[in-house]
Amino acid sequence: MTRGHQWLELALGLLFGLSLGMVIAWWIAPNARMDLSPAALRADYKDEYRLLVASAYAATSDLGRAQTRLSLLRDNEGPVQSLLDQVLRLRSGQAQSNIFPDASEQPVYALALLANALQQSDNAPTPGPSDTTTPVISLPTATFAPFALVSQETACDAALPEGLGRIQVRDAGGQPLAGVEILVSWEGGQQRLFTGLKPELGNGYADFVMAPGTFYSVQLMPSSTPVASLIAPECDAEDGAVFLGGILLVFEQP
Amino acid sequence: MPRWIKFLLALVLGLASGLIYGWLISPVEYVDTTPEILSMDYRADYVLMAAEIYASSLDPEPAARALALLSSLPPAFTAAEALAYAQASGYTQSDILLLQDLTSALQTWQPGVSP
Repeated sequence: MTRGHQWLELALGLLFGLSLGMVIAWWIAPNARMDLSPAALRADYKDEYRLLVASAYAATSDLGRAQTRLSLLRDNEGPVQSLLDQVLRLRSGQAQSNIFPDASEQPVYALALLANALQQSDNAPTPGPSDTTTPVISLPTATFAPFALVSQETACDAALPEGLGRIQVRDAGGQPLAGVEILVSWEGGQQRLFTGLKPELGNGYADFVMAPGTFYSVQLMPSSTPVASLIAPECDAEDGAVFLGGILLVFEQP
Repeated sequence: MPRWIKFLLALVLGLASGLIYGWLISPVEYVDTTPEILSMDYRADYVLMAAEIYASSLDPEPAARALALLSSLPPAFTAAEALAYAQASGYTQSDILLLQDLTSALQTWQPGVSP
């Protein structure tokens, strides 16, 4: 036999062994130590997992634990955006929950609550009255009917945090609506809010903080007309000092 | 050296290389899986989340539904399995109590019957 044939035999042996090894490693006996974490879950199961994390957070207020659990999903767009996207899927009917099949607002509320807490922990500008109250998850249902701005006021109340933009959302009957998504935009940034996350101030309430000299636009999602050119007014205090006032916007379904 | 020994050595070398590649360098990566095949530590934390929700509402129904996604076994069995893991893995006493409460509730729970 020639030397060339010998090399061919060795190459075939090597190739056959390599193929056999990979078949064993990938199909017959995969590595048992691999990381079977929630990141490997199918998208709909990730939604259920995320909802479970949010509901557990709503029950315990343990933000650190919720953050750790959400990080296991390794969401590409980040935990806050993933939570908000899931809110939109639930509200638009593109997704539903197996864990809470009969409750439409409870999952939305839990997800929005956790998203809001995470945003605040990232120093997002949403100060104001504290959020320490554990909310009762029993809210009226918001629909997708468009909202109209029925009132816009400036507020020079020194008792309120400076530059506070307050928003009230009501249904056609004048009842406050929770779980309504609000997009606040300004040059170089935007922030998503949800009504009802400060239940002590009303189920239809949401707020944000305006920086001095910055113009803001507020839009109730998904399709209401944006209210643009909003700016925090300068107010005169009784002692002659100047402080930053706020605004109050009231939206209602027609 | 006989030819068959050379062939065998090449085969063994190839096999070892294939195993190293498939197990260590590029191991199987599971995607789009169900909760059933999560590692036990993740399963236990999943059950703990259900227990935290149950402790707040005292309604075993959502917890049972969550556990049904985790296993085809009865929810009480899944909760008991997580409780045993938590006890063996040094979970905090408060977490173990939550799991105990959920396990007890699910042992007497019947689908469709409110607490």
